[in-house]
Amino acid sequence: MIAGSLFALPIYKAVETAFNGAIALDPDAAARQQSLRGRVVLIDMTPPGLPLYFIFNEHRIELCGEFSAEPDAAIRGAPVSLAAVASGRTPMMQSDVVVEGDVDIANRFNRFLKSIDIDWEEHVASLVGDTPAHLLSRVARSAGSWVGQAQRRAQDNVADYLRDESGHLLHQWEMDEFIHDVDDLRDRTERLLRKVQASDDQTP
Amino acid sequence: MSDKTHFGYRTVETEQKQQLVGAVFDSVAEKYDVMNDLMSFGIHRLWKQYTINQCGVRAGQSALDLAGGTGDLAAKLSQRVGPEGSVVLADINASMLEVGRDRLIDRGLVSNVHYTLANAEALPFADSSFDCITIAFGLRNVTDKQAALNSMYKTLKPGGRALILEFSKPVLPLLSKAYDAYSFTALPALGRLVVGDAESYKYLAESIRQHPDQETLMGMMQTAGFERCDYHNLTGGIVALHRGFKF
Repeated sequence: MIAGSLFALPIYKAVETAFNGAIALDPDAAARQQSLRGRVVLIDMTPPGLPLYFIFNEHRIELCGEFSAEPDAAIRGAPVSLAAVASGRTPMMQSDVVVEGDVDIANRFNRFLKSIDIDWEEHVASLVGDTPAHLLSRVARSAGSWVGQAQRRAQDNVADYLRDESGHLLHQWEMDEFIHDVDDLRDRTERLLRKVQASDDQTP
Repeated sequence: MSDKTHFGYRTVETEQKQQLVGAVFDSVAEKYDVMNDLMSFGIHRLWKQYTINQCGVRAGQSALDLAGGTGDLAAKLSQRVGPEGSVVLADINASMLEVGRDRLIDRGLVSNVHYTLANAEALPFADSSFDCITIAFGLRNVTDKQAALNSMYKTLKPGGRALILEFSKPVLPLLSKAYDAYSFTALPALGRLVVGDAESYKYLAESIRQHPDQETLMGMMQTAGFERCDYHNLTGGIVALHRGFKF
């Protein structure tokens, strides 16, 4: 059965244009994408079950929601897991992400995504000049750094509350102590078991 | 006694239809794309993109775009098959083929696209030549549609698929009425304004009504030998995409 809707096509087209535009800003990306030329990779976000096919044509990457044939590799997972793999925070093999088809192509695709490195300052400079571009770049870096710090502070505050105020979580030393006690109990149980077995063996 | 066929709502000699259709396309070839955008409000691009998404063509394969006109589908297929593959853009009308060839050359698509002036009823290709055959808004202009489908089936490789994008029968009664009013009044008026030819667009509206509906066309595909045939209505059935495989 042929399926799908016309409504999503302009959205995929817009994403495709933005994606290719971003790749064009990295002069080495075009050369790297040649290793995937002619290949089709499916990224399937589950949930919500949003398929995204990357079709590597000679000069351009086509993005669409349907391909109507088997992709060379399919990478499926929750959006958070896929983002963690794409950003390099989690290796693909240690994540919840499921890879079907040609694993080598999936790895090449992952390396390609991770390798995209855009020098925004240089491209903004070609539009507005070197000095404004440098200033904008500093502002963006400061903003990024502030957001990062704020995020870390928020994480620390939440963790402190859950550990010290609400008591839902343990401190690391409490956890270590608990694990040590469990190990100790296991060893003593083992010793007791051996003694009981030995006394059983001696009984005529 | 010679055979009769329809040309829009007129009944004409079978041999005459090809010339009459040829005259229509000679007249509109130069402004074909502009008119398509105006008449469909640009939606024909989505219909064609949808067709490409269903073609399943990949690098290194061969595709035939029949009645390819100004080369919209051929351009997309050419990028999909890459330098190792090939696309044949075929049309029975030399004016349309010329416009299509110029457009593709202007877009730099030259290495893997070939051009053939061909009648869809008797395709001049060896059996089992193509992985995919597309025909967009062309089948209704063919005099003997069953012969065209048979010929497409013959030239398709086993495992290949044919996609037929064509005007069809709207499935919603209200939409059908609005569509009738639009196509019999606005289309000829647009044709007169833009191309200076109202008759060709009157023919367009009439030929759409004479074209087989969704189920009839699917039956014709099955008669030609296609398997796993299905269709998908687009924009409420104003257009339908039919698909069939050769195994």
